[in-house]
Amino acid sequence: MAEVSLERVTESERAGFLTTELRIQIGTILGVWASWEALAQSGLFYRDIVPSSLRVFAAMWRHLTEAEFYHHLGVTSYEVLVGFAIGSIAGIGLGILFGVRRFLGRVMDGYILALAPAPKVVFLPILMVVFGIGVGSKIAMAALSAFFPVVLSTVAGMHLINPTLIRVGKMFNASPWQMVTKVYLPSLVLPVVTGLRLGLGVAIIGTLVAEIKLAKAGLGFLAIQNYELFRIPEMYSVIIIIFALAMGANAIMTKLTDRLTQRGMPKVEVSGAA
Amino acid sequence: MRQSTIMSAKVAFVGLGSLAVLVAAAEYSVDAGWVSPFILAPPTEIWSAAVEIYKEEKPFRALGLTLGTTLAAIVLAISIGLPCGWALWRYQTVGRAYEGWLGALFASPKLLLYPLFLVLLGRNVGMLLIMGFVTATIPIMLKTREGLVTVSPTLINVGKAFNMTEHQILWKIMLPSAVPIIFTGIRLSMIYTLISIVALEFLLNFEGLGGMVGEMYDRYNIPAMYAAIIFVILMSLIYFRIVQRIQTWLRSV
Repeated sequence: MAEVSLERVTESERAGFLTTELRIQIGTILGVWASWEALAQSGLFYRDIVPSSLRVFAAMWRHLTEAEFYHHLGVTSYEVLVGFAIGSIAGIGLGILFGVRRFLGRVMDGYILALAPAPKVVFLPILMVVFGIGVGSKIAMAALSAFFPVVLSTVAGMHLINPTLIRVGKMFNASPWQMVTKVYLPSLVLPVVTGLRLGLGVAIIGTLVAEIKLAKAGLGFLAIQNYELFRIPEMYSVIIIIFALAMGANAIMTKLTDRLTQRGMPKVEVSGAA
Repeated sequence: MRQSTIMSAKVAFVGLGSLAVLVAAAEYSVDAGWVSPFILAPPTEIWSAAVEIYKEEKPFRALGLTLGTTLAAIVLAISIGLPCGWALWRYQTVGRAYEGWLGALFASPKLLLYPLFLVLLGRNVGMLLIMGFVTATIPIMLKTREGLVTVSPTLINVGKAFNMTEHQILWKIMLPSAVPIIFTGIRLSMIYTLISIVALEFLLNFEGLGGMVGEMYDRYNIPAMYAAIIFVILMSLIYFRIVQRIQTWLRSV
């Protein structure tokens, strides 16, 4: 992805400021915005279903200047980060274990591959029964979502480690901990970061979906609360903010992976990770 | 060869054995009172709940609804995504302008836009279909363009040497050699669309597989909830296997 945008930057530099691509992009944005406004003014829809963008921006401004919004943002960030940390530490740890103990790895492989692409959201009722409808079940949902892409890419990375490195480590009588920190982890940086990027994405989705379904706080809760109170401009504004935050997190992680790839780390393909 | 068969048998034996141990442990821990039956249902009760669900809730009707919506969304996505992908390839500047956006949209959590679609379209199958279509069409567009872009120039030159028209080159050379990549796009969209549709059904307490799980949770029928979840996982597993098979089969053709 970033390769493409890099290409575009250099091209636009060569061709002056406004390349045709850029003009198409600006035109598209203006076109979509103008049609939205036209729909808002037309009165074709029931009151407020398509609110004027000005009202959405006003609602966004209100949100961003209110303390309450930051409370919800804080709850969601806390849930995502704690869950993501639990899920990825478990994923990296078990991934290394399954890579070292090949038999165990093969036994678990079937189960992990079977569960990895399954819609995680159906586990939410179990998590709510076990951890309650508060912060606990959201953290668990984020952890469960993040775990699968991380463990899959760690196992894939373990299979790619140069066996010579492992033999050298064993020859030096490295302890298991030394093997993990000095041999496995340094060779696993790129696959793990790739897994973490996918994992963070699905952890964010998992958390927000759980908040939308049933919660007491958080951005997903705020969005659905606005929907239930029919405060549509506010609802749009929360969704736009959520979407921007999620895409921003993904962009940062993609940058990180690209930087590592440019340094010549081997690339690992992980599929079916959502 | 023989050794690898023995190994696979061992793996299957230990794998199924651990599952059996886990199931027995679940049963025993509830019976012994270590785990509350309001958290974990004993597998025997899950089984009787599954029989009950099979008789009363018509789980295969739910499966049919979910699959029907998913496949309808995919057919719609193919019929619109393929020509759009072609257009993105044919008009290169437009393709370059939109490729980055489409890639970002592909990675973006479109599921979170659902309150927006709910407001615009209401709580009905049409809304599920449209959201499924949005999820499905992006990988198809991107992979169709990618497939056409990566066709070997030698093949195109051969076509030109035979004085083929642009139309003939597209249908006889470019599309056939782009098919494997296009099918990767279709496979991705089949996976992501099923996931989104089940998630939406669950969020909206709509019908279908996701709705069935939500319904059992709302009734607070713990064994039935577990049974429904296991059913959905098994069905999605079979679905993903079939999708995988279709692609391997198409590759070999």
